Amino acid sequence: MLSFFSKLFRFRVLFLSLLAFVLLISGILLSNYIVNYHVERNSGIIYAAGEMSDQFYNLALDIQQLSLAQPNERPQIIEQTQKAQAEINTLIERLDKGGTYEYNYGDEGYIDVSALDSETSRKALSELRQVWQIYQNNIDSTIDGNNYNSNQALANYAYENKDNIYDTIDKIYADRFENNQYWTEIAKYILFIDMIFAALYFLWFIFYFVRRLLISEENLQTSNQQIQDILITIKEGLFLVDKDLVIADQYSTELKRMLQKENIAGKKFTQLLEDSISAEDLENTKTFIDQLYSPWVVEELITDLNPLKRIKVASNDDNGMPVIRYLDFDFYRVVKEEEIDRVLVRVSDVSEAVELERRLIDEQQQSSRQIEMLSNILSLNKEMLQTFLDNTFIRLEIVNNILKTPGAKTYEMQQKAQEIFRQMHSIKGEASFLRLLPFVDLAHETEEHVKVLINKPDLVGNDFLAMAVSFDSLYELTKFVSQLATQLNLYDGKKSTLENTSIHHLDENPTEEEIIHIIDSNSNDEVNDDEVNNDEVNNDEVNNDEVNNDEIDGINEKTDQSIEASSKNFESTNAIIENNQSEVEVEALNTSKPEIIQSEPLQDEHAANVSLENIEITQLENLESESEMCDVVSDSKTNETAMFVSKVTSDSVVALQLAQFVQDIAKRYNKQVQLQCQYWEDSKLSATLQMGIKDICIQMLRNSVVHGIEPAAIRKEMGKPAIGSIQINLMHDEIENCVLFSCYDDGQGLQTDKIIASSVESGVISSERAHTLTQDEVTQLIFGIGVSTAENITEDAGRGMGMDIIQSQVAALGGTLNCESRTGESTKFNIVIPLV
Amino acid sequence: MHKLMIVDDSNIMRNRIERSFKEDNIEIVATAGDGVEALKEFDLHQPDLITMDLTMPHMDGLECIQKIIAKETGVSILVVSALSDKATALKALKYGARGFLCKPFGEEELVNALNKLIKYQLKR
Repeated sequence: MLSFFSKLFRFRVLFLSLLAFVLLISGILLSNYIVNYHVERNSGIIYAAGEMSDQFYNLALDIQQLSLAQPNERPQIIEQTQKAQAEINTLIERLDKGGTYEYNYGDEGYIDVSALDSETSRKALSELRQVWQIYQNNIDSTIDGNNYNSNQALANYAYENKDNIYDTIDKIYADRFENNQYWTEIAKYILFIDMIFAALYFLWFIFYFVRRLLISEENLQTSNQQIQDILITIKEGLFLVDKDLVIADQYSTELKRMLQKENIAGKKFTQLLEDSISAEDLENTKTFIDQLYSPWVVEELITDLNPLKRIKVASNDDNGMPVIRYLDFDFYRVVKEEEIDRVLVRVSDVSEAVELERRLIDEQQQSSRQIEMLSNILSLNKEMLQTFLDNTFIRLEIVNNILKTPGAKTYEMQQKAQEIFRQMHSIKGEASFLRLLPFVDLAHETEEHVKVLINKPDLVGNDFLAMAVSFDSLYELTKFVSQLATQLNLYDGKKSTLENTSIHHLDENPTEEEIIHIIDSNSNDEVNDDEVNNDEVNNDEVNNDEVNNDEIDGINEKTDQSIEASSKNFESTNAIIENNQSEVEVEALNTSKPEIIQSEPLQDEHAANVSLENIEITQLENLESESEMCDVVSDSKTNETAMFVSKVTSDSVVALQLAQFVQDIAKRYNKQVQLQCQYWEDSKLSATLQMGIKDICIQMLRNSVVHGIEPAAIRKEMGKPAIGSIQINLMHDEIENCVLFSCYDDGQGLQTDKIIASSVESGVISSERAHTLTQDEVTQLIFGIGVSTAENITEDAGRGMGMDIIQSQVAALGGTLNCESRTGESTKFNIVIPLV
Repeated sequence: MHKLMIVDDSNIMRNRIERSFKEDNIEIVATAGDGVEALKEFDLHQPDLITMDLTMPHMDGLECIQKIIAKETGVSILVVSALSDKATALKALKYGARGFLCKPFGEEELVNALNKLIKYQLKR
């Protein structure tokens, strides 16, 4: 009720104006009515007076005729006279008291006659009555029934009073006429005032409502402007879509920027998204919005089904550079009077969130890899890490020098790029061998950049900048790890600086102090080694060395080399023992391994060497088979089918690491491989050669596991043992003065077809030539750049560069390489490197 | 008291819901492991709430929803499925389901979703 009145109050102006209008109209009508009332009254009176005047005239005429008429004509005239008399009486009566007067001559009808009310009229009427009284008396005395007494007196009276009667009637006339004029005048004034009022009212009305209209229009404009301001400023896409997915007129400016589209209003929402999402998602979007319009569906329970989340769109940044943005579209029902009227769509740019998520995952991965690397570093042999870091510094340095002067000619630069690629590949190989994954990642990344350069026809110096970032990171990482390793006392500092371009190796002729230092540090290192027995030997040996300075003085050049090499592994210590043939050493050996020594007595230098190796091989076999068992057991718990086995029979630390490396790759490819290493005689070799051979060996093993050894299931089908076998051997032939390296696997052999196809594809040979190749020529093809039989490029294979690196490494060491392959059975690579 | 039927081909899922479900206003009146069974149970117990899995043997969720909606009892169906199947879930809404709950879900989430169905059902 209260609200009703308050509503009324809101419209009070309208009500008041309506009331004024009604008053105005009723004023006009009332005044009209009053005027009409009087005019009508007067009309009746004037009519009656006129009628009376006529009757008087008729009466006078009849009286005149009567005096002249024949006796037989008299009765009719008398009747007329009487009739006129009656009419006059009636009329006087009506004028006096008011009433209806019927007239019946000419037209028949009646008229309302009001009683006279003005003094003038009534006076005139009473005068008329008096005259009429005498007139009537005269008539009565002259006419008695139908008898006529000719009497001139009546006629005279009629004649004499004619004017008097008419004057009296005229007085009534005039009075009523005057009265009429009076009322007409009043009506005129009233109408005039009404007109002024109407005009004022109209002006007010116009003024008031136009003002109101203007105010509301202004308000509308203001609120419109406010909406516009919001839509222009808001950093989100906002718009409305109707049931047919048509976008409404008002939308935020940001939307245009987000979608890189103009004139969005009136377009279909799905049309905007056509280039950014799949046809299926487009269809899902339609269905989703349809469902929002269905009141039966609960809005809050379908937000998960929104298909437009993390939509990738091509866009431009503030500088107009193309960027990829990720957009989220959110939908809200707009409900009007309990009906779903529209759907509001909010578009938000979530690129930063997506980027952050991605970075978090990346960082997580990176840090977990880094932690893995750190734990690997801690478990690494100091020698290995030292060699790796030294080699990596040298390689980075080589690359750095290339980058300083990449050459002028395209051909030259392509060659340099290939050289960079080789260096990176070697770093990658060695790092993955030591399981230093961040190194692998960065080297791989750099490799990717260089790979592009190698195949680029119009290569220029600036193109090398592309790899600068990852190369720099790699350098920083190497520096970081070397610092860390130094702090952990795992690294004795960089032995070659970036300014020094020569390949690092130990002094050919170390001084006595250096030797002692090297042996010292070596023996310290070995304390932690598994083989306590050998340590004892070592310590004894060291003591011996220290005590017998004289003996050391007399060591010949060959022995020098042995001692130098002894810093690499303790196997060489045995060589020193052999060469010195000291009693003490033999005794020491006797105490540590009495039964072996007994069964194979030392006869000559060579025999001693072999027997010693055998001892160690046996020991290691025991050791390995134990750990192998552990491996198998732990694996069988998690995965019954996968069994990864590596078997190493050489004692060398390098060989152990190689075994781990093979196991890692085999795990990645879900293959079962056993690595056997009978001989690893690298103790007397220069550091350069050791590094080169290790590089070659890493590439060879990788090839064997990835390309050679088949998955266990296929091997079984082919009737081979499920576990693939790889055998590597490194033999130092001191008589021929050369190194023999071989790598054998019982895998599928070289895949002639794939090699030819890949070679044709990479343009090494023409397709015509492909049909006429001999087996040897096909074998040669695998050394070509860009040939790979792996289907996918991975960390381990697929670059088509592995064999190229092997060949260039072998060539760099002055060696020769040959390959024997039996399709489906085996592959064997033999490398002979002469020692100068 | 609202009557709830659980349709899911995994009996682990059904048992888990049944065991942990303690709501004053909702009572589990039936469970079904496939569409055919669901139709039978529906006729028997006339539930007004259903949680419906989409991938089931014999008769899948979509067909089952169509058949139940055709009976015009005004039952509220909540689709319960994995997010990978958005298109099918949307189709289920087209056929007359009222909401979607992403698998896997906790008991609280399920109760919230069911209460929303009830709330808007009353409102209508």
